[in-house]
Amino acid sequence: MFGRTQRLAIAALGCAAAIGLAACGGSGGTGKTSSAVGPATVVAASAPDSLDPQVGVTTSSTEATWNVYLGLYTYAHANGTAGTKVIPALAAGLPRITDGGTFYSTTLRKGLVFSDGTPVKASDFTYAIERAIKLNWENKSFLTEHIAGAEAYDQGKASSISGISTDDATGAIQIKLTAPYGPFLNVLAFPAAGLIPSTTPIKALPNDPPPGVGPYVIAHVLPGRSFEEQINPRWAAQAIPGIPTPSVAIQVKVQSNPGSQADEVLSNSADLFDWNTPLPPTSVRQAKQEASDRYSVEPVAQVSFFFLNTSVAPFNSLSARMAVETALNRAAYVRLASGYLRPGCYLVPPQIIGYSHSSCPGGEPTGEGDIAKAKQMVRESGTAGQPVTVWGPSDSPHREFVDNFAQMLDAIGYKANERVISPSTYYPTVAKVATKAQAGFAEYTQDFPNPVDFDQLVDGSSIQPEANHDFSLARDSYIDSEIEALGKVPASQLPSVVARAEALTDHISHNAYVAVIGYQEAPKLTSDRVDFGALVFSPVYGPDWTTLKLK
Amino acid sequence: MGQRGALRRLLHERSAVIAGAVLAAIVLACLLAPVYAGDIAHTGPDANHITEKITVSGKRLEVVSPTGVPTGPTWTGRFLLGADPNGRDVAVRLLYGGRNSLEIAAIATVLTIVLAVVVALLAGWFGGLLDTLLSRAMDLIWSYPVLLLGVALGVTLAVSGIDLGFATLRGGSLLLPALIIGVVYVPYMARPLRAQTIELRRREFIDAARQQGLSGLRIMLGEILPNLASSILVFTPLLLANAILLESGLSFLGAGVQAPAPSWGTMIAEGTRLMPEAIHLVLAPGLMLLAAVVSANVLAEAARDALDPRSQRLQVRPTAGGLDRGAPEGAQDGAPALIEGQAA
Repeated sequence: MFGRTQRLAIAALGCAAAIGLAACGGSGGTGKTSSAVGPATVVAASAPDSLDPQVGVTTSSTEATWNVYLGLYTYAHANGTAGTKVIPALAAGLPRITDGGTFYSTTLRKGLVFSDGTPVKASDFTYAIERAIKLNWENKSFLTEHIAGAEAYDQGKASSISGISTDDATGAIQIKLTAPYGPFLNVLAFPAAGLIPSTTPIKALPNDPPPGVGPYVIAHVLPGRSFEEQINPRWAAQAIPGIPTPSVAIQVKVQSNPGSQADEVLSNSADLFDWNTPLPPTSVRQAKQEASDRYSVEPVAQVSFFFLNTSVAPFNSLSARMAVETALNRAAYVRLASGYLRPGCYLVPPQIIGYSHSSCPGGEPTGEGDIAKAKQMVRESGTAGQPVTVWGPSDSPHREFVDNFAQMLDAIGYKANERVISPSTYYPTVAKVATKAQAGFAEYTQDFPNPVDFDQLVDGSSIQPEANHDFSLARDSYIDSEIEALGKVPASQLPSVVARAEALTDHISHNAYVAVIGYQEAPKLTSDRVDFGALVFSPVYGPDWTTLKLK
Repeated sequence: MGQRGALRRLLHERSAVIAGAVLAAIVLACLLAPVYAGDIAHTGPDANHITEKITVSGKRLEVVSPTGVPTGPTWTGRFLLGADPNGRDVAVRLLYGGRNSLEIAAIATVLTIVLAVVVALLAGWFGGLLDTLLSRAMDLIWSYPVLLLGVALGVTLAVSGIDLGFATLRGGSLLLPALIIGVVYVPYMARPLRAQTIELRRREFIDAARQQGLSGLRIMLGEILPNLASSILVFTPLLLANAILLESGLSFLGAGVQAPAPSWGTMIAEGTRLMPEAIHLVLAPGLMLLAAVVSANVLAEAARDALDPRSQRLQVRPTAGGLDRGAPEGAQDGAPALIEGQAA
């Protein structure tokens, strides 16, 4: 998903609009809830776009809902790469995958109940998927493109999804895919695939979200302002391994000013800073000086890069692209990102399987770039003096990124000019092949922790006239075939193809289809009350509220 | 009224002299930007030094800290007014930005004057259908808030540029904001000048010129235009001040000067992200903008008083979004009361 900040802004606008429709806080309506201690207060920069699991897509939303709406599978509650592992949630175990990767069968755990006490049935899974499609969940293509019959259901040609069959008596669930799709387990781990009772109406319920099965229950939603996550009183009895039982309820407050947010946490008026917003420089200084034992910088599965259009001069020349890779001063981008960027040269981020540990082709990623060598390479490529237009969004720090990149291109012998446009129109503009954007900034946040989710950014077989993700228009048969092969490997078996995934990452880097500058990082800042060490920072969903413990 | 007398009165007005000196100093400093950049700061307006260190009073300082905060004023040749987030010298960019802002404002002012005079003469002299058409066109432009119109045009044209038939302006061209500003201010000057033209047309010396067999064009250029000169002179610094303000506003909103070219507006926009940690990023261009606009306005007021000491205060005043639309006392349709007698 492109432009997390854009999405958050859209979410904030959406929630602001929803204020007008708000009653005085629809409660979860999910039965009795309890709180051991607390609540702990989380200050968030923007409200979730929706707390309805089959509607919400922003990081603010999924951070809140992944522990409320468990699906058949979820992610391990662990830091770093371990946190990208798919584990069974409501399913009794990992699925049996047959028919060349097109048939998934699993069974529901016994004795599951929703937070309102309703027993969970296998058919609730079908209902959740159908509801996500009917409510036009923004990522519904992951369902409609891969589950047999889901597209027909979406188009109204079928009354149910033919590819899903369930047996409420035995809890058996079988899913037929249209073609092998390795990341399908990741798709099943989306909160949107979280089970909800089949009696839930097919309409968005952002202010009064339906009951789910998970450690938390959402309550007291004040749209755009606050909501609570109370401990699900029926959770402990379900004893699902690998998913912690929370010790404290969560109160989420929306506080759009990052400085005020930071002040509240630093002064212990709130307990957790929203990871979606970088700390302002003043607060970073204060956090490092006064709260170093409760402040750290955590990796996020996101990559920031400049695409280099391989279909037009000068970047149809490998030497020209390698010159850019050689000249990149990644240390400069770290500063422009206020320190919240880990420099790197690979398209796949460090915490994702497939990240390469080889040396970068252009030199040490923490270095300041070798302008003289790059200039020589440009001369030798015969592309010196050619004009290059660098595109970028006008929000900070991306605008400054573009300034820096354009100046670097000038320094190595090109004539760079900039096209900086509104963030809301930027991605649709450069995603049109007809725009012929020569170079430009892009950032990509994972849909799920799987290498092909990043590799597809240079997938030549996916190039389309509009909404194109391969901005570089890279057409490389090796990449295309490897993406196809890796894309068939079930997420649970990814560790068996690490070497192959790393080789692909290396290949992309050595051909410099994109000039990666690094990977975004996020602040982890808590109050004195919180057991900082125990708080897990999930690489998928950020701070894991189930591990938040008050001293 | 003699022009020499007006100049003498202007030079006796202390505020006018100070304002003129300030404006001249700003213009001169901006014109000398390449000299300052090359011989004193030793860097260009777009050259970044983000990961470099400088020595100030024997101390090694990072131009931009690892958390992205640029160094403040060093009060030395290098980074006199500090650095921006990309490690560029603020003083150098301030002067180059001033060149861009003043260049745009000057071109826009000339364009406004030329278009406004043409519209006013044609509408005021010929009257009838032509007057109606031109006046309604002016009303149409007038009906939009200047800043909104400027932003709409600026954003639309920033990417694709504009094809004028005889020339094409690319998206990043400085002429584009100049063209936009020049056009949106035309009604503010054309309307009062048109009213003046209508009034002049009824004067006896115009009848005399007609009876001598002079053509309409010759009367317009030889008799009416010289009588509009005083108004044009008063309007010029006012338009300049407003053009600078509007250019800064448009650039601040991303619809004016396009990156990486600096302007005072873009510099302020870039600085707001790092408030208050790096307040120099906003203060330096903000103060420069203030000085330029205030001095141009003071000069305009003094020029009006000098050209027509008996006149009431002009009701045309600069505002943040454009010129005040109030009509001056004793003038029809917003015409300033600066009509002189027959041209010499």
